[in-house]
Amino acid sequence: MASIINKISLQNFFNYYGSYDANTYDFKEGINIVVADNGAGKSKLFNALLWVFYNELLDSDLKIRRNIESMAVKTISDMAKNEVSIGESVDCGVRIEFQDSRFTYQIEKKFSATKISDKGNMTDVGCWEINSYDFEVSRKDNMLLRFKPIFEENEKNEIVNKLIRKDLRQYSFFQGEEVEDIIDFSKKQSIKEAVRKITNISKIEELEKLSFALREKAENDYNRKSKENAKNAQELEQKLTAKEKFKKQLEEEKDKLEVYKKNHSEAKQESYDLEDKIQNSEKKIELKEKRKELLRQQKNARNDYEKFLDGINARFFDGNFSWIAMGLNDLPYSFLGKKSNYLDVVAEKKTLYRLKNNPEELSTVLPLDMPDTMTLDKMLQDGHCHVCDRKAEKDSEAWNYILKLKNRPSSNQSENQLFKNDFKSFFEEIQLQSQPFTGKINSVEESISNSIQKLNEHKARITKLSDRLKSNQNELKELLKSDDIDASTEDERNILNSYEGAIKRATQAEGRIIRSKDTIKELLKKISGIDEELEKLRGTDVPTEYKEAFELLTDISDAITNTRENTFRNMLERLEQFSNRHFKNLVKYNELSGGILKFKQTLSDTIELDVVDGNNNIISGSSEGFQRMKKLAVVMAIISAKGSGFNYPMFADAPLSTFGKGFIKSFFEEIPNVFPQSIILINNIYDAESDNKLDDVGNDLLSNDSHVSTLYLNEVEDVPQVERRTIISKLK
Amino acid sequence: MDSQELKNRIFSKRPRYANIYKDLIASLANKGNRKTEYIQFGPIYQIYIYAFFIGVHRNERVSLPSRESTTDFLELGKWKPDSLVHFILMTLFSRNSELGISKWNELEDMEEADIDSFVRIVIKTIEEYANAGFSYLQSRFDEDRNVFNETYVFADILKDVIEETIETE
Amino acid sequence: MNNIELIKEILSDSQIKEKFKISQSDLDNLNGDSRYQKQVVQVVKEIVADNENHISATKSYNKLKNILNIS
Repeated sequence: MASIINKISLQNFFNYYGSYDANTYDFKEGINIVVADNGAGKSKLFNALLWVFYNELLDSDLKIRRNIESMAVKTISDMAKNEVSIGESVDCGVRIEFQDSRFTYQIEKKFSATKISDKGNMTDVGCWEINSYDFEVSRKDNMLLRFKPIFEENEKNEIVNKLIRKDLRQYSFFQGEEVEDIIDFSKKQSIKEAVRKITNISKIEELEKLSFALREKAENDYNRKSKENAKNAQELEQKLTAKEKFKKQLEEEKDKLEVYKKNHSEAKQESYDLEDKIQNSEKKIELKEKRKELLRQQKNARNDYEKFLDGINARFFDGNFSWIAMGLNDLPYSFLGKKSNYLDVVAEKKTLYRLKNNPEELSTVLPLDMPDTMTLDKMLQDGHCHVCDRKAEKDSEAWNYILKLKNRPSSNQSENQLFKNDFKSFFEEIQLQSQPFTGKINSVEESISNSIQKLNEHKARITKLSDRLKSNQNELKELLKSDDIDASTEDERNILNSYEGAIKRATQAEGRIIRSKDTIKELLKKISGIDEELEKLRGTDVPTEYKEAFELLTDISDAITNTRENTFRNMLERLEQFSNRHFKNLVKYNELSGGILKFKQTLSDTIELDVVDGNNNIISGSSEGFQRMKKLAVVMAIISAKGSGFNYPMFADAPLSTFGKGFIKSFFEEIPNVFPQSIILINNIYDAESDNKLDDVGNDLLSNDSHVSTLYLNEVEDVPQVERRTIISKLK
Repeated sequence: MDSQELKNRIFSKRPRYANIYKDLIASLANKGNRKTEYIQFGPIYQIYIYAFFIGVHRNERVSLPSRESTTDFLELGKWKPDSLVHFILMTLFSRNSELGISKWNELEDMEEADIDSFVRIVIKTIEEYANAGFSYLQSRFDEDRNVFNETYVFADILKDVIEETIETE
Repeated sequence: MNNIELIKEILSDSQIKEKFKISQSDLDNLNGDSRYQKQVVQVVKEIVADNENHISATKSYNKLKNILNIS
């Protein structure tokens, strides 16, 4: 009959404050569920069994298992630690009661600690002194009433082993994430190991070795007798020696083959490990390169934007933009007007002056040198005024006027004294030099709005790049499953290189394996050739019993070898069969079928698991939930394919974290087909909002239709740590 | 005196601003590389010119306080670009009355000493327009200095005063 | 598998079965008196038992010599 855990009790163990009686779980055959939200003692219950089996606990901060001694103070309930004063002590422990067909057993592990100081945090190791660690076991006959203590250390450990057998423990006592490792499909060894465990094939292997040795001895005796009776003892001796030589070579070659196989499986193993990383590696590299490019572009865009921004206000004063001239549309006209007035007055003064001082001199409003001398000469010559197109015959009034024009004095030296200050070019310079501004007055508004548009374009460009960077970042985070997306591309390239290296080594080893096998074949042929010759050389007087003995033992050792191989193969088939049976049941509530599991032996004698569809095509890349289901299916198959039933409880902490509702339901339906008792700690069906804190799947399990025997709920109040305790409520 | 001489006399002068606007100027001008949190012009003369035109658009001049309460800065001739200074002169010389003359021609007959006085009046006009401009800017700054973080604040303010003027015409 | 099953398995190997004409009654009567069993059956039983008891190859061979009629 199987071991069944009756109860687990805790005393001041982490959040389980108080005595054993206050913190007890009563379990039954079948499925027992403990529901807890994270932090409410779920993993701590798992820790209780870790202590019992291994004297270890899981350090939740460091995420590794550590010795109970190094974690003792941390383990004691904070509430309990807080209550005692210096000099008083606290007891902390776990107790398990389980039974098989004949006996009921109690295992207790505990220690007590005395508070020696109040300084610092009460959780400081220095504040406490651990008094002793106790390991107590007692037993009672199921027919009787009283427990009797067991004192012998070996016997105590034996009893702990009865709880869940050590060599099979990994298949029924595990934490959810460990499912990955129990039967890691990429570690091909693990399936082979599992098969070996459940077939007890090592016994057959030893038998095989024995039979080889016996055959060897029989052969030696046969050879000895042959030599005694041979006609040509020398030749016989030679042939025997030759055969020995070949046999030795054969052994050596076989050893080499083992090495090649090992190299092959190691290289393949490495390539599988890297494959996961690779799948994404190329994409990762691509994304990282893209990211680099985008960052560069973003930097440029930002720089351009900053530069543009900096330059904007300069546009007020830059003659190319002249924004400062905004709104001064009237200015040039007003200035021109004043300049005109100014020039008129100047001209007037000049004319008056000339009239006064040079009355004869022609006064005209025409500027100097206009019309030019050549034109004037032509008009004089033609006797015609080309300006008004009228006759100006020589010596006429008109002709004389033209002559006077020509003879005007071309310099105004005398006029220079007319004004104290001559500022004409001052004003002309103003008009000329301010051109860049006056010319743009009307287009300032447009220039500003162009500039605003340009600025917005810059901003849009930056926003677009930021968005693209964001989505690139998200893609990378997905692939890397980490936040450190700026780690170097070096790593990716290294992975690719390592992968290629591993593939190369595997291929090389493959070649060597094939060649080695050929060599072995050759040697075997040679050996059998020599055997034939030996037969002829052995004397006819050799007692037949020796030959018969040798032949018999040869036949038997061959048969044993075959038996070994068949046993292994059969178990593998059986494992495959059972795996698929469980797998089918586990996925029955999901629409996708998930494929069929197929085991196959490789060149290096390891076992690969492929998942194929109906057409024998390999399926890969299913969701994480499916992957876990496959592993659970194989784990269950390992237990159930054994044939004799698994006689120990399953104790698992949240193997369901990646499962949807469909999976959870089918999981709970399938588990009892493999384990007589299972205790499952989960948080998936917890719903803080609902009345009984269970979600609909949880309530399904709670109902009387389900296979669940007991269901507990752990809760922790939202109070300060020192007041925190786990409250256990039995819902079923 | 000739044109070049007149130009030199004007261009060699260093206008002044009232010390009460020192902080405002420091906030809004970025001489060298000292950035503040506000949008800025570059050298001081830029904010000065800007203030000048604010005063011009609003048609306001405010006398400077006594000399001790004022500070000078860069001489006109060194303001860049050159065309801008000429533009400023264009603005001034199209407002004769502000300069105290009814016709440019009056300058032609002035004695040197008078020219110097005139030049001082020119500068004073610049200073007083700018002063009025600063006063306006200060009040906008005090009212809501957050707008001075917006990229186009100076264009907006200039537009505001122009529109104000149009309305009141 | 236990020892009886192992012995059966070995004796059911096709080469052995054919060569030594192992019958069903041979397989069913494995626990019977060794002296009346075929030589091959005796030897296999002996080897399996010796392996179970971790007897050395030398000792095992010496025991087998009797069954095999060699010295």
